[in-house]
Amino acid sequence: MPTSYKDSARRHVSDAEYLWISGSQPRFPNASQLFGMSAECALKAVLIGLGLPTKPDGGVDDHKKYGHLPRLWNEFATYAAGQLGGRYAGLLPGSVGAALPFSSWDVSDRYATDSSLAPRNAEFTNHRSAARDCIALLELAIQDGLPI
Amino acid sequence: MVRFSDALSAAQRWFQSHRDDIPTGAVVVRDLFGRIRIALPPAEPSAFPSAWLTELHATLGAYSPGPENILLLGQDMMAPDAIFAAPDLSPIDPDKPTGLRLLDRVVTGADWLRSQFANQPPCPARATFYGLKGGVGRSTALALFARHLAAQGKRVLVLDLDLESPGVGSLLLPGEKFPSAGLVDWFVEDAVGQADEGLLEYLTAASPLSSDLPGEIRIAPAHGYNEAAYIPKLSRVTLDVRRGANIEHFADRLNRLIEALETKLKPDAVLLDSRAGLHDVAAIALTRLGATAFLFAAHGDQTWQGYRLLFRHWQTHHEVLPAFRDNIRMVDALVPEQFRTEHRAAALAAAYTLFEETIYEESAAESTAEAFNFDMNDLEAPHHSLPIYWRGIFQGYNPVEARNAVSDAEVQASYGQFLRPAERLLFGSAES
Repeated sequence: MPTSYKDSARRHVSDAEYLWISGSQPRFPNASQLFGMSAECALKAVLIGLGLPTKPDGGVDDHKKYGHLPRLWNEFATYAAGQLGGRYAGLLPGSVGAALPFSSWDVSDRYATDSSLAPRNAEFTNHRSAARDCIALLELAIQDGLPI
Repeated sequence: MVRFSDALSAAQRWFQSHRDDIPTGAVVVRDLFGRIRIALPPAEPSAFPSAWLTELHATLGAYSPGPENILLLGQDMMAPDAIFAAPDLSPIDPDKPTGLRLLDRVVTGADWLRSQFANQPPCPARATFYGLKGGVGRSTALALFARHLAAQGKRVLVLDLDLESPGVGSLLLPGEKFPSAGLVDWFVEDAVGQADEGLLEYLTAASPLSSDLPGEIRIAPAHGYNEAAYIPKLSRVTLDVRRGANIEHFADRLNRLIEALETKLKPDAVLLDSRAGLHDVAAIALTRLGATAFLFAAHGDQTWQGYRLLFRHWQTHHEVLPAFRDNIRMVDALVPEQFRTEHRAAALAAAYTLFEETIYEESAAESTAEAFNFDMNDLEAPHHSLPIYWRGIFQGYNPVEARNAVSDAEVQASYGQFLRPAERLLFGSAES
């Protein structure tokens, strides 16, 4: 399967927004899942643009913890270097201050009970805002001409 | 509050207290913000007691990425080689080369500590003209040195690498003689794969400064004739560019440019007019290109304080120094017309203090290797500056347009004690 993190980042974020602007709480948990997926894909796309090796299908070796949020944040922060890497790492949301925007995000929340998800609206709002920042980072990298 | 430098010391103390339990091959990664993480290689056990990490987090303050992020496990990473096989890994304590290693992620300045390029011989002699502070007559000295070499029949290629403040091009070429392209053109064209042989043709021009001499001076100025888009080009010069699976850094690209010009023009000497200050171009020109490095200094606290900042950096990473420290030579750039003897003594003492307190090694009796150390009065020592005697006639002097304003004898009187030893440093023996 040919992989495009750029395409999937944009696809996930627009679907997430679709759920989010429907405006009802029961849609927010899945919107949050997609915001997180979108952020993951955006960060992977930028990392590839900065030189992260890929497999022949265009994907990265992500059968690893760091391929996913919130760990991916950490790998981005330590991989980036030089003027080019610094341009994006400096804009990475959550770079300043202790709380990382996706620290509470977990891909396995898709199995969670409704009752455990209902009180987490504030977190989901943060996920939305952080995903938008990651997409902005991706769009900047594309406009800069990075090979993504 | 934990400050930047305290954080690394804190990490080292933490490491010391747990060193028996931390696997060999562990790396301290300091990211672009200065935050510190411990990375364990892929083959190593995957966990520490969480209390250790909490303890490290507490000692790092704002320079911790958070207790849950402080440990990086190679086995979980997408690109572990980016850390564990990084070319910029260096011992955190230079006296313990096999100990804990540091990977320092920086926005600029990585080249101060990177190794020299292995260029294919035969290489012409390269020399870098550098001043930590500008305005010390560096470019004028370069122009006169080029003329001095051309007078010996040498073919000299001059590159104006002072891209943010170009000057030596205008010093060596009248405006109408500028070539049609400049160094910035090569970099932007190279980034899109168009820096071909044809472009090299348009990068240099012969300087009239050598028209009466057996040798030749060619200059590659920063910009070409009638340049109208200099800032947009300059603003893209230092780009790192992907070549297949690898990223080619600005330093690699600059070295490739110089090699291409050397192959094409076959000069005997390449003189690089470096950007002043602690700039990336200076880092490359001083440490990576295998050039004899003339460090211009106008005696004064500002100058020595600035050089000290650089030398202290080299001192704390002295494993990289042997490759280029033999190539360094100080230049006493503005010896005043009065009190010359007193000035020379004071400038020499200041230079010696700088070297002695930073990059000169202590003589170790038990060591078989010869220590890098010199007597203050050793005429061949790197700190023993070559003097340039300032005179009013050189103020605003343009050796091309007003060469007759200054006689050869006057040039020799002011610059002779720089020109002849500098030639010896490049070619082994003076022919004049």
